[in-house]
Amino acid sequence: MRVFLDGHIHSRYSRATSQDMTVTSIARYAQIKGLKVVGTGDSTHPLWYNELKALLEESPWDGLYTLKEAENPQVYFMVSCEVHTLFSFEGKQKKIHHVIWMPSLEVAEQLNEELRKYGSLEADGRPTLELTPPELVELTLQVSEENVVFPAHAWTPWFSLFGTFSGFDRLEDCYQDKTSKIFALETGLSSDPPMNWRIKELDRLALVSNSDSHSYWPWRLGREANVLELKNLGFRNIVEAIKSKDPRRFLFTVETNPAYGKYHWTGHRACGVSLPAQEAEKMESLCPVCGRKMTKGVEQRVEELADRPAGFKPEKTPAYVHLLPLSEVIATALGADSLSSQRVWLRYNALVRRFGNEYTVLLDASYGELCEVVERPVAELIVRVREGRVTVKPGYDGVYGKLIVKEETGKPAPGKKRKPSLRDYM
Amino acid sequence: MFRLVISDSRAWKNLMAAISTLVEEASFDVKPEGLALRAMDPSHVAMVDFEYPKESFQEYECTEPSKLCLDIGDMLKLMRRVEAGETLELTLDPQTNHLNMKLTGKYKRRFSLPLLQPSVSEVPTPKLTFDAQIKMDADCLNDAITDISNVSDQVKIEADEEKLVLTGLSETGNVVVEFERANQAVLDFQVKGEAKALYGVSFLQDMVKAGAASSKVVSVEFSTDKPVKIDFELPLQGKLTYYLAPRLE
Repeated sequence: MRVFLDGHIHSRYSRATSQDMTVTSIARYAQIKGLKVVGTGDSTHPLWYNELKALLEESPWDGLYTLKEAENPQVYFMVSCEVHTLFSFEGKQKKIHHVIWMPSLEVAEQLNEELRKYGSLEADGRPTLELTPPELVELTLQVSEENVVFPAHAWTPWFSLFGTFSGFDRLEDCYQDKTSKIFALETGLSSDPPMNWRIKELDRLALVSNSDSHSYWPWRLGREANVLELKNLGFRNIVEAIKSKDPRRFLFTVETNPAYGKYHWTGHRACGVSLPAQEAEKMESLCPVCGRKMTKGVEQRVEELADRPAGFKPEKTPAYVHLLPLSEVIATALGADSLSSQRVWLRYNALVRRFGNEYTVLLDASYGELCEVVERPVAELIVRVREGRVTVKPGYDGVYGKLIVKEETGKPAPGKKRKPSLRDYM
Repeated sequence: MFRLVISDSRAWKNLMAAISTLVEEASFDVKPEGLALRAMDPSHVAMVDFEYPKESFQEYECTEPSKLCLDIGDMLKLMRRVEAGETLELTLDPQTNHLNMKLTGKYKRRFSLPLLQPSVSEVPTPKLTFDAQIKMDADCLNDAITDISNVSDQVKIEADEEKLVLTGLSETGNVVVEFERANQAVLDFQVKGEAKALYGVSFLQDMVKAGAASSKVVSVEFSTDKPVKIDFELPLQGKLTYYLAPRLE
């Protein structure tokens, strides 16, 4: 069976997270999206942990849970959390986020008992812990050898393994003698597998993709995911498939176009300035408007650390597909200002009703079938996104990238009033 | 055979900078009667139309028409430290397909630039008639646009029979600049009825700043909701003209 897994999300107990991020709403929207397995997120937070205990029950598949209230559950929960390690390394303060997957809520409880010695678990769904990454790995695996730890959104400027502000240049510097225990790396929204393939050190790692979603809306939840081919569900089967990196078991990752991520290009939000890596380098990363230091984008950071040219592809590695959230695609095709506008939802719901879930619409539905449900421009754009025939205005310094309808036919984007050009007067 | 000598290389640098406001790759038409370039920016919102007759050069040799395409940004980089009084000689090296540049002043400097594949498409100029034609001091127009760029990303240009008004409005503040027909900054003022249009200030600022570095006199010509033509007078019938499409409210 083909399994879509989003293994990193947050509950309403994390900062800047929707207050409606409840177990029930996550399950509902995960099903709409087409996710079979979703991380619980925030298993370290006592209130969220109690909710998980109260509302979930063990499923027939080991280490996976379903909603008690669901009659025919379609979505399975895998126990997960993200922690923020705060520590000093060679006189500098480091702030790195890590994702942890656990085989049961009981193991999560045991781990919580250990982690609370290093920081408050109540303060935030993603707790800040004063311990080093190797200490975190050691402690987590001491509680259960089945636990999995890997670096979260490894390239974002803030709080990440290779982050320009407080990260490292090498995986080994971060995890030291526990590096061999790390077998996966979360690429984050602003990077995709081809960017990571340029770093030889990462060859042995499985590149995983998760949404790190702070809300259940389908343009956030599952926007990145891992697609596995499993004979049977279950925590161990999922972990083994990912660890194997076998393209027959770990089929592909769903990636947003890396330009869509909030930190793809180098830029300065306050001045509205964004630049690709080479131009930013020429400017010595200084904002051409105000002269202040710009936030270095993931593209530039990858260039700095890459020891291979762009275009290198390792053998026998899971594939990847660039997608964008269906709501974003519909809104762009219609020229709608908001992803949650009535006319976008109308078409979104019609497509999901017809094809079962969002991933099927984005990946499998044919152009002809799509045209039976929505207008041609929407169907066309869905197919073009799938085939990579779209342009994304790159995100920078916390600003998401924007899908642009490239005027392949010379016609303006549907729904948008075209600005006059000099060609109109010739 | 192609060879030209420019007596004031700094003026040439200013002209190249004026072209580079819109295009990265400049494709010049080299003809026996002079050098010309017409190009639009990639969004086709703005156009530069440049002509430099052979009389404008200290020496000019061209035996047959050809295209000369180069990265104008690279040329400007090489000319960054050009000094007043230096002469510039440009020749072609067909063997290496490079443009050779020789700067002669207190000493000699030689640079060479690779030539690019020229574009074959010809760009016509917009077909326009103008209700407002105002000739004025280029520096004053530059100052006005700069003031407006401090508050707004677009500028409204209005003219009636008495005055030309440039307005920038935003939450940051408002800037209104008036040029009355009798003002010292205004050299010629011809307006039929009224004309009013909105333009992006960023393009306009780049054009006027670059043009004002090469010319003291500029003509602003426009009609309601039509492109504006900004024409800088160059010596010896040279031409530096920009067109900018309007924004529609």
